[in-house]
Amino acid sequence: MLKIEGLTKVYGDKKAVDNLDLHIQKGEIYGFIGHNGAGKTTTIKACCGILDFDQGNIYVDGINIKKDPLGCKSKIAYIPDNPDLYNFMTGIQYLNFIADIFQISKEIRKERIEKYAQMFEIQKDLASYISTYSHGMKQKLAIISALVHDPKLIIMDEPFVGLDPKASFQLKNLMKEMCLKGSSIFFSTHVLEVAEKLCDKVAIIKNGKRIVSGTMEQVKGDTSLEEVFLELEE
Amino acid sequence: MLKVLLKKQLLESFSFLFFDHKKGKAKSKGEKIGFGFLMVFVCLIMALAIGIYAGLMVSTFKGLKINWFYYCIMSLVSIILGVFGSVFSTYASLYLPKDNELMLSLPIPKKDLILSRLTGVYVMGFIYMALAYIPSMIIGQIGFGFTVSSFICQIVLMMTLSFLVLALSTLLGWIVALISVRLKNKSLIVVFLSLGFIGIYYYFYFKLVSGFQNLLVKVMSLAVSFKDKGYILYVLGKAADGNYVYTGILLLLSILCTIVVYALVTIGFDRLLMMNKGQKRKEYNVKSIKQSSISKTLLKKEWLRFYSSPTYMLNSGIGSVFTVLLIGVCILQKDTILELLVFLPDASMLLIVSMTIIGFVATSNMISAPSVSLEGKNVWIVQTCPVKEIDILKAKFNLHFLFTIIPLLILDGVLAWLLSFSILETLFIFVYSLLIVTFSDLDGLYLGLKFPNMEWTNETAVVKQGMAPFVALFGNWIVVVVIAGLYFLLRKSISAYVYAGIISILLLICILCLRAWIFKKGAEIFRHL
Repeated sequence: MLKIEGLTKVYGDKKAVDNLDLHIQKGEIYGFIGHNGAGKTTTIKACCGILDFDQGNIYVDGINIKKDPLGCKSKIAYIPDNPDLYNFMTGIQYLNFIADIFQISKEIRKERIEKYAQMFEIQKDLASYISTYSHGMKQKLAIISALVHDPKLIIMDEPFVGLDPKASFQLKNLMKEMCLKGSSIFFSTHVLEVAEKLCDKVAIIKNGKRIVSGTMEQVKGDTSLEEVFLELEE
Repeated sequence: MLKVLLKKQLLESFSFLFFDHKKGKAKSKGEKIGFGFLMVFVCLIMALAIGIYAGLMVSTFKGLKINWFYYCIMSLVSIILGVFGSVFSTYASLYLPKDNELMLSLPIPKKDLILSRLTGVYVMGFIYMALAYIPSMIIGQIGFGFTVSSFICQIVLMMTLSFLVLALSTLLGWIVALISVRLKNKSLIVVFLSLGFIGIYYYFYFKLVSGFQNLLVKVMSLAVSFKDKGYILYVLGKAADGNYVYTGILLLLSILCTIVVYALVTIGFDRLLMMNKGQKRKEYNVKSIKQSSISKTLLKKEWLRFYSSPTYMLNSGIGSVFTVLLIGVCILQKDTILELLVFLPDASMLLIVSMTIIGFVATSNMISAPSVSLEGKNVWIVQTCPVKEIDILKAKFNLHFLFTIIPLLILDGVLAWLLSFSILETLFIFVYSLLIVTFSDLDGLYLGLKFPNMEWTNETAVVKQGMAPFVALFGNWIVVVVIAGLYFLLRKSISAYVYAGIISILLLICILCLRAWIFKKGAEIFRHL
C-alpha cells in the first residue's frame, strides 16, 4: 500500500532522511519510531505529498506520488501531530468541507459523521467553532475528517497526543478495524507500549536512517520494544 | 502583593514603548529612542491642536465674561478624550486580559487584583485626559489672567476629572466586555461598528470648523442653556475658574463615583471572569450536512475565512463599501454631481473620469493579495487534499472577483444613468470594470504567491502589514492614476473611445500574462509552500 524507496531529503547540508526504504503492506499497522528530529515527520510529510524530496520514490497503492499526486492523495488520510484546523469553521463545516473535497455522498457522510462523532463523543460540539475546541477535540475532529472518506492508507503523526483515555482506546480499536477492512496505517509515535501492542510491523529511524525494521517479534525478540529502542539509540 | 501587581500592570500598559508586539521581541535602543520621540511629537501635535481651538475660544469668551463656560467645555472635552482613549484598554486590561487564568490560579486577593488593574486604567485615562486638559488650562490661565485660586482648583480638578474618567471608562469597558462575551456575529458587528466609527469620525472632522464657528456665534445662548438645564456643568466650569466650594463638591462626587464603581466591579468581577467566553453551545443539526461541488466548497472556505475576520473584511473589502457609498451618493446627490461636471475641461473626459472612479473603488479591494499567506499553518489541509493547486487559487480569485464585481456593476449602471451615457460608453465602463477587477484580483494573487508569509502568529501581519497587499493596493492605484493622467495629456490627439479601447486591450494582455503565470508557476509555488 505504501512503498518508500531510497527516500532522501536534505535541508541545507543536513540529511533529514537518508536513503530510507519502507514497505507497508495492505492491512498492516506500521509503527514508525525515532528520537526527536530523527526524520519521522519529514518522511510522513513526503508520503502525503506536502514536502518535496530530493531522491527516491514513494508509491501509494502503486501510484507514484511525484507523477500523480492527486491520485495518491485521494487514497490517503493524514493526521498531523498538531492539528491546525480551520478555526473559522465549525466542526461540521470542516467535516463537510473534507467530505466535499473527497466527493462523498450526502447519505454516506451523514452516516459516517454520526458514527464517528458519537464514538468520540464530539457530536454536541460539531456546531461550535473549532477555535473553541481543546487540543484533544481538534485531534478527534482531525481523526473523524480522516475517516469520513474511508481512506486506503492513514498516515498519522503522533495520533495519541492530547486524546483522553477513552478516545485513545477507541482510536486503537478503529485502527484495528480499518486494517481488517483492508486499509493500512502508518504512524509515528513516542509511546512505545502502544506501538508494541498495536503494530504488526515497526521501523526505528535514527538521524534519517532506518536502523531496524520488521515484524514486532523480529524487532523486539524476547525483550521489550523500549529496551530495543534505548539500546539502538545509544 | 499590591506593589508587585502594580508593577506588572504598569509594565504591561507601557510595554509598547520598549517591546515590539508584532515581532515578539524587545525594541533596539535606536527604536526605543525613535519611538519615544514619535510619542512626544504626537502628544505635542495633539496639545497644539487643542491649544489653537482653546485660544480662539478664550478670546471670545473673555469679552463676554463667561470664563466658566470655557472651562466647562474644555473639561468636558478632556473627559471625553480620557474615556474614549482608555475604554478599550479598560476592556483589555481590567476585564478580559490574557493573563486572567494565570491570575485567578494564583493566591492573589481579589481586591489587590482589581486595584492594580484599576490603577492601570486610571493611568491610561489620566494620560489621555491630560493631553487635552493641561494645554487648555494653560491657555485659560494666559487668556483670562492667572489667579492662584483657579490654579489650585484646576490642579485639584485634574485629579477629580481623572477619577470621573476612571469611573466612566470602567462602566463603558464593562459594557464592551459584556457585549464581547455574548455576541454571536462578532466579526460582522465589529466591521459595522468600525465603519460607523470611521463615518462618525469623518462627519465630526468635516463639521468641526463649522460647528466651532456656530459655538462662537451662539456662545451666550448656549452658556445660559448650560447653566439652566445642566447645573452640574456650570459647577464644573465655576470650579475650574477658582471656586473652592464647587471644587470640593466635585472632588467628593468623583471619589464617591469611584467607590461605587469599585464596589460594582468587585461584585461582578468573578462573574465576568468566570463567564464562558463562548456563546451558548449550539445543538448540532443533521440538516447541516450538505454536499457541494469541489469548486463551490473551496469558494465557501474562502468566504468563511473572509467573513470570520473583521481585520480581513475591513482592510481588504473596503472597496466594496466605497462602491456602495458611491452608488448612494450618485442617486441622492445627482443634481450636485451634474453641476460639478460642468467644470470638466472637455465633455469627452466623462468616460475616462468614470473609468478612474471605477478603477479606484475596484482596486481598493485586495482580498486575493493576502489570501495565500492567510492559509498559514492550515496550508497542510488543502495540500493533502486531492485537489489541484490551481483550483485552490481559483477559489481565492473567485471570492475577490464576486465580492468586487457585483456592487461595481450596479455602480456602472447608476453612472450610465446619471451621466446619460451612450450604449458604447456604457459598454466601455462595463468592460473596463470587468477588466480592472480581474487585473487587480490576479496581480494580488501573483504578489501573494511571490511574497508568502506562512509563519505569522497574528493575521494583521499579512492583512495589514504584508508586502503583497501593500504593493497590490498602491501598485493598482498607480495604474489607475497613470491611465487617467495619460489621457489628460493625450486627450487632444486621441478620442476617449479609442483610448478606452487601447487601455482595455492592454489590460487584457496583462491579465492573460498573469493568468498564464499563475497556472504555470503560481500553482507550483503553492504546492511547495
